[in-house]
Amino acid sequence: MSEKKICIPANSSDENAMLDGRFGRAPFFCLYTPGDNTTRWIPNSLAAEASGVGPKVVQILVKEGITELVAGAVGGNAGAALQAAGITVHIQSGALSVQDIINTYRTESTK
Amino acid sequence: MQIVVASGKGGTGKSLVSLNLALSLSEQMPVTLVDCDAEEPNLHLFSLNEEIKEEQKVFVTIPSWNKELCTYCGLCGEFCQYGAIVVLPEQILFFQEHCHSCGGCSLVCPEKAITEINHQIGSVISSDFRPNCLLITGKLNPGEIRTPPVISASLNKAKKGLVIRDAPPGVACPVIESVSGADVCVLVTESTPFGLHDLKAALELTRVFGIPAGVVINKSDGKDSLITDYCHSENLPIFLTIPFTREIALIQGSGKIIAEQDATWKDAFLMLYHDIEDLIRGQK
Repeated sequence: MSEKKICIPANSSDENAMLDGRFGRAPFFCLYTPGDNTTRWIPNSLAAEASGVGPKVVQILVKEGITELVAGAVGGNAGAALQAAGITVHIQSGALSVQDIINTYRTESTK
Repeated sequence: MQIVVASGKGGTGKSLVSLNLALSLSEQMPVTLVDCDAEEPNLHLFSLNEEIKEEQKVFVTIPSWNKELCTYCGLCGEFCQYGAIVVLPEQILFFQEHCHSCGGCSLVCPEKAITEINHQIGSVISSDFRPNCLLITGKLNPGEIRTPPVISASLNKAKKGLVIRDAPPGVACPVIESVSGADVCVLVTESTPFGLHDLKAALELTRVFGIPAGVVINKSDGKDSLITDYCHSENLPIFLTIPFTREIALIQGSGKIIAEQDATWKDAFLMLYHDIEDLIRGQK
């Protein structure tokens, strides 16, 4: 079993970052590893691409070893790719800060 | 000569003009009518003969992976600019609707594990529409998104003699494919703000291609200054004005052709053809 690693699409890369409702076109991804409680932010170089963004972003997540995704919504192709890649998707609606999501994972891991 | 009938806006009467022009002329010369609206072709509904003369399949190429040779190195997915390929540790995901058939994936594959195979996206159907009028219909299969190759294959079957192309609405790729290579463009419009807006877009498209154009005003209530003022300012000839009448709507709506029902309409469309010829002559 590979190490748990979570991807959170974010609208910015600072402490005020909110979960971005768009998956493939979010400007940043916050990668959180509960095992050692570390976060890493990567800019989404594909945010402005014309088409086929969903599958391309999934390819990046696969390379990063992501096991779970928290997102507002995912498109059909991205969803198929995420499923095939074995990445668990948690759909969340409403205004959630990236920090809130990370805190939820922290609470879970210390239970 | 290749005449393309376009409009920008949908529902202005492209098919009405294409059909009537083709059938008015077919008594004098053989005419080929091409239904370029491959996403929803409908000229065949006006045909007296449902027999298919010839059906040609239209293919695009898509990649196919040899799982024995593939090492899942991921180079094909990295190369693909369209997001059509995702390479997982032991699985290839291919999103066919994103593929543009560029063939790059097979070129970059170091294992030669990718071959390009044919995938049918539609067909081109030829039928005898009237004794002296051949109908060529481009037909895109449901679920497919690449209309231009089907239109291109349809136009390849209509290279000789007088060809009338009935273009789809809009000014995007399928219309560009339909207009490309034509000698003249008939822009069908109506005297509404929407008609004018889309006429402007369609005219711009013909100018990109350097194709001479003229206008047919359809569904006219006699107050067409919105369109006529614009045509004068752009030096666009107005070939024909068709009134908004219940009679015309009834004939067209019941699958008949106004030029076949009423000789004055046949003469009007023959005049349209002479105006088209004059426009082309004036350009040379």
